[in-house]
Amino acid sequence: MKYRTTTLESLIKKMQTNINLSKGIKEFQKNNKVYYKYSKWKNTYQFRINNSIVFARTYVDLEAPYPDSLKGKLKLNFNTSQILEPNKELWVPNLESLEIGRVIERGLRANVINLDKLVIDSERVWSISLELHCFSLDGNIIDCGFLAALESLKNAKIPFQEYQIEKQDINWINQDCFCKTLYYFDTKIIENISVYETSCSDSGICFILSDNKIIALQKLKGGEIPLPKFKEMLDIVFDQYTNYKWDLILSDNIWNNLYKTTKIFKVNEQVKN
Amino acid sequence: MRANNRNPDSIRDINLVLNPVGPNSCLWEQGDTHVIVNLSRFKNLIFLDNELKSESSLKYRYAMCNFSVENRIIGRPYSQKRSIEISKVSSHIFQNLLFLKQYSKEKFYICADVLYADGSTRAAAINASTVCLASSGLCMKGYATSISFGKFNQEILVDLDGKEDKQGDADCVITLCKPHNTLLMIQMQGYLTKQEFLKGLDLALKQSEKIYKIQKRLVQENEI
Repeated sequence: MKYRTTTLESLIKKMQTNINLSKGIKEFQKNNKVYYKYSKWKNTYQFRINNSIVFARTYVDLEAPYPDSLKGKLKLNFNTSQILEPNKELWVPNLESLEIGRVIERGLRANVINLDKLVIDSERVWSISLELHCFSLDGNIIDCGFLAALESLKNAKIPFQEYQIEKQDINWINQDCFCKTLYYFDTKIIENISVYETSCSDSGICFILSDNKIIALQKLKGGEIPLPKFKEMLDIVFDQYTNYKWDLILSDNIWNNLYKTTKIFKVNEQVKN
Repeated sequence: MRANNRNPDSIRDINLVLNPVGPNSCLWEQGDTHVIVNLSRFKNLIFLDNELKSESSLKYRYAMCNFSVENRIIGRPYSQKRSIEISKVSSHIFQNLLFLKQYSKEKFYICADVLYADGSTRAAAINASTVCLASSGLCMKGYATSISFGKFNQEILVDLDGKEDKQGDADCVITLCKPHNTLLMIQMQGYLTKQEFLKGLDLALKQSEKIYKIQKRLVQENEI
């Protein structure tokens, strides 16, 4: 989201005095509320962190491999709705969404999806197309998009029957992964940032971790970050990874507990089957 | 041992040519990676909306020429997702580095074309662009010095070449603002433990000093 400089200056002044710009939705350094659900629109998964909403859908298809590498294929598209940027011209590609898509793709490719296991033979591989669509923007969009992508991939079905291929149990997804974006503003490190705070902050770094390793990193925005602060960010992310992880959120038990007790679950279950 | 008998913490030989295709251009040869950068400067422009002007007054375009690699670049190289992303990330660096408010009636276009790719192309493009901007006498906060590091054969290496980039376990590019040593850009893919990452960062920091000295020496020679 872009603001005129006068608006930005007033927002920055408010942030310098520690005023929360999210109008009481959350405070600095507090954890977000994460919701997700299986929506009835064509097997999509909806993920929501605060008011950021991302829909994800995975298609799996059979294709010929690339000539220089015998591996499965991964194609990812991240789109933002035009509603989020009314000033922008229609059909002009959004560079920010392209960058977000590339960051998520890099994380998935590094250690989340095992593309080697998606090979059937030398002429056929499974191709995964992941479509992510953002309808509401309230900060943490990379984290939200990554979680939606992970949930969608976790539940993707490989169409063995359609192509008359012998069914195999392929363990191609590593669920032990964690995505966190931290922002830097005026010597302070901010996490769980809102959209207003994002536009005011100097810069941010997105960390994607898996199996106690860093698998993807990307610096967002152009501001400088002193190296000691960067190392502090790294410590914060590793602490959170070891203490929380996403296991709690993504475990099957919680998935069942969330929806079994409600009527919505029955509707969704029918669609799912 | 690496190609050209390099140590894990050593960088490839750097060869620089200033103004090879006209004023404000630079050819950066780092091993077999060859990048040519051209800075176009438009003066005395009139902007209707001064407030939003600063966002668009510097544009950066990174592209790999079709003949720079053996396969997979078909059609227009600058319309690829990778090129667009690198262009966007790199433009942030220079928008931050230049005092754009001092050049309120000017516009800058930086075009970086990779002539031959053998690893660390975006780092070479950023280093060459810095030389272009500094040698044209523009006011800057510092120099953007970029270097890559990664892991290949269980060893942390600095300044990866093409083979180490493709077959290695991890590939990371950092850009630092010299002499303040602040982080301007970082991009990583692969898998590194925290200790390995910090070790690579330290090695890259030491070697970036060498690149900074080369950039500075060339600019000073040009001024004389």
